[in-house]
Amino acid sequence: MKKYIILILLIPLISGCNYKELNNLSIINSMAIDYSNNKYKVTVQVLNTDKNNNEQDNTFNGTTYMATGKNISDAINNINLTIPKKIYLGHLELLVLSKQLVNNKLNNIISYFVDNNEVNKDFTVLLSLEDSANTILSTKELLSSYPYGNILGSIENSTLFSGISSNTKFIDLANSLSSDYNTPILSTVKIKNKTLTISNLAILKNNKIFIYLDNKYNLAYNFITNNINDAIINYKCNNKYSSVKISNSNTIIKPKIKNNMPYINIYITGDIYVIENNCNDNKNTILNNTNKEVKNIINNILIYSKNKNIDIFNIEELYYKFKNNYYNTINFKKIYNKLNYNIITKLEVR
Amino acid sequence: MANNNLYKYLDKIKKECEAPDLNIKVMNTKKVNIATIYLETITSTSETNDAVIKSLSDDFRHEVKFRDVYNYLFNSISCGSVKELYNYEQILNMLYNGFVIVLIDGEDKAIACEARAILDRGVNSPSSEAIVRGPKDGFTENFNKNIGLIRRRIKTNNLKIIEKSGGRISKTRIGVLYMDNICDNDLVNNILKKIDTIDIDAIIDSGYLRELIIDDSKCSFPTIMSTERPDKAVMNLLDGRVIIIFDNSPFALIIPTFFVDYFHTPEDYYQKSINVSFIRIIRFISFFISILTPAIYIALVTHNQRNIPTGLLLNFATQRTGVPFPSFIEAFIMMIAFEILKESDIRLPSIGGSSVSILGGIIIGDAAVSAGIVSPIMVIVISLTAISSLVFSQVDVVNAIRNYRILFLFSAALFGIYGIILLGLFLLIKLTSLETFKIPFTYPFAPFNLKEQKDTIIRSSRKKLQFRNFLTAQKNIRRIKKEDNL
Repeated sequence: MKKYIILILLIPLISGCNYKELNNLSIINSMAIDYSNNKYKVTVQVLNTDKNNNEQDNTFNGTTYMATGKNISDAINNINLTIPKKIYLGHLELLVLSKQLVNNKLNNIISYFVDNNEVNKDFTVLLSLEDSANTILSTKELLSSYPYGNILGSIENSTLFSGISSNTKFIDLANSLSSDYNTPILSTVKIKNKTLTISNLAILKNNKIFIYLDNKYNLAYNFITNNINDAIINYKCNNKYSSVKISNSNTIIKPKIKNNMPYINIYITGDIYVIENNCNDNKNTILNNTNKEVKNIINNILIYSKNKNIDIFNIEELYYKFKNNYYNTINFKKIYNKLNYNIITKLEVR
Repeated sequence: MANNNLYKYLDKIKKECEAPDLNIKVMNTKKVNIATIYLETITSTSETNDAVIKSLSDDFRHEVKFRDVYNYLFNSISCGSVKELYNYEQILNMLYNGFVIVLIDGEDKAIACEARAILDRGVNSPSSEAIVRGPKDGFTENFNKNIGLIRRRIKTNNLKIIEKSGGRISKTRIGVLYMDNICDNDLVNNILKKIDTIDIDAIIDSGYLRELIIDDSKCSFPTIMSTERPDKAVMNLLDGRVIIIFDNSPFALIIPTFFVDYFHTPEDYYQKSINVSFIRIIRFISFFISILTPAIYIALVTHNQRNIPTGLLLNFATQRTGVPFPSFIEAFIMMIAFEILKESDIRLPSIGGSSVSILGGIIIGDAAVSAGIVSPIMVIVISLTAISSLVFSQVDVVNAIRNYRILFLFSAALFGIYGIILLGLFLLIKLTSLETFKIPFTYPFAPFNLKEQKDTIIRSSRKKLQFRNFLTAQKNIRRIKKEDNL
């Protein structure tokens, strides 16, 4: 009996869970952080879980609360003064950061969310391109069952099914920021015609915004990073445009060494489905044109990145893992603009 | 019989039995006095008249000049079973068993002839284990009928029946049945030994013996299964297990019982195997649903909110608004309410039963939700749980599931998912440590046997089930002969 009592007494010590009743929580699904004059301005969107009069209505409204503070926790504590329930960040889905914040205090943000064990680490991080972060959060969306369902949905779908944007998750951002070989990226958002729109991808270097990747490079970026389900490729023929869809694509970058210089092979496999055949091409022409176009867009982004001398595909990490001895003898960052590559496409028309 | 003076003897019986249903009739012939004694309540009057009294009167009429009255009567009485009795205790025993006792003046022996009244119902379909396709007969309260139902299905002398008597007062007939060419002798001997050691005043039902021969009071899962179905009993006999049959109880005991047996029904073997496998998986799922659902719900809404999608969390949160109790109390109230409803439904005569369920359904299902005392999701959780637990026909299993459900609910309310995992481990350890006569309860999972898995969670086709149970039927393992090339 004694051992049972000891066991039961031990259980709470090793559990670490604390009881919180669901209806005493303010579920926050989006947060915006601005930074100006050494002060953080935190805006949170609390989902309204009170019963609507109309029971058929399954949409959830959000209410925004705002406060400033010396740091993020201070600001959140100040928000607590106005919110009746406990702030709960476990279901945070969207974090909007202002440009000024990213350029100055990005590490503080990362460390706050990494160290807070109540926050899930799988939310989308967006950079507000033109406006302050809290204006993004106060833009009303229509046609969504809860706030920011639209912007999250459009970023996810445009990444997966057309490849023209990138869904930057917090955990990836934190990982690449902490790594020496990775280049962090951030999706951006702006207000266009009073609606939120996904904009160009921002590339960070030394914890600062370095460049914005043009939309035409975004597809190639997703292609190489395998972040894509279906890619729509348009190619030119007889002054018209035809479209094909590339599905099940897979890209492998194989690092090699040639004449003591890094040399990469990029293998691309996938299935081609014809969507619009405006020039009445046959199978072989379609294949050739698609191959050409794929090679072309990938070539473009590689040339672009070499010119800017920014390793957006984390090729440095590949060499670090591939041949560490060799990696130690070279300064990869300096020779990146001399990187040689070869693109091999193995596509099939279905 | 020491005292062979008939009238003195009859006085003694009258005085000691002193029962209103004791019937004593004395007939005087020229040669000797003959008395018939029987208990009207348990003896068939017409049979007594036909067999005993009529033959005595006939002899009377013809006034046969017999020299040896006793032998003449012993041979001429026309009833099923005639026995010779030598002492007073035997006479009383036979009297209470429904026999007619014939005493002859001057003789030191008595004749007992069987004329038992039929006090039991006929062979009906079993009420607790309903099946759709398969034999519909069930055990009754009559010992001989129960044995007969088994003998009808096993026509070989390998079926051994050892009769024991249990209970100082009730003297209940207990039949230990086994197949001597399949069953392990040690198991039978152990069971018989255990039955011999029992010293109790009465065994009213097989449940008495089940509790007495095995000490399973520490775990609510029953390690001996009872069944009302002769086909199930025979299946288990052929698997090398021991069946115990009782007088006055329609429930036979199956020793040993494995955990997985509670997920099987006899019907599983009468249908196509592939369909049965699906249903068996459903049974396993419903076992886990009925034990864990309230606990998981409570853990998710009170501790581990991060583990559910935002949409569902919002749904839960919206439903919880305005409910005055903590989720745990809410779940507990609903669970108790359901148990009350179930219990009253069982106890109430069938005329009132439907009104209880309608009333309970309206109160628990609808009124409580619209009054805002419980959330609709809680009604869904509790009813899903309750329905899943009713998949099992064995009352003991349903009760065991209920006990663990409440324990899981407590641990989830205290420690969340972590608590559920802890208690789950505890339950697992508990189950795997259970034994019936040194046969592990969780076989073939815990001492794992791959060959046995053909008939556990899924059922393979009949042709593939070539072997009996590897643990209990070692003596005669093949069910389907190899030469048949099936």
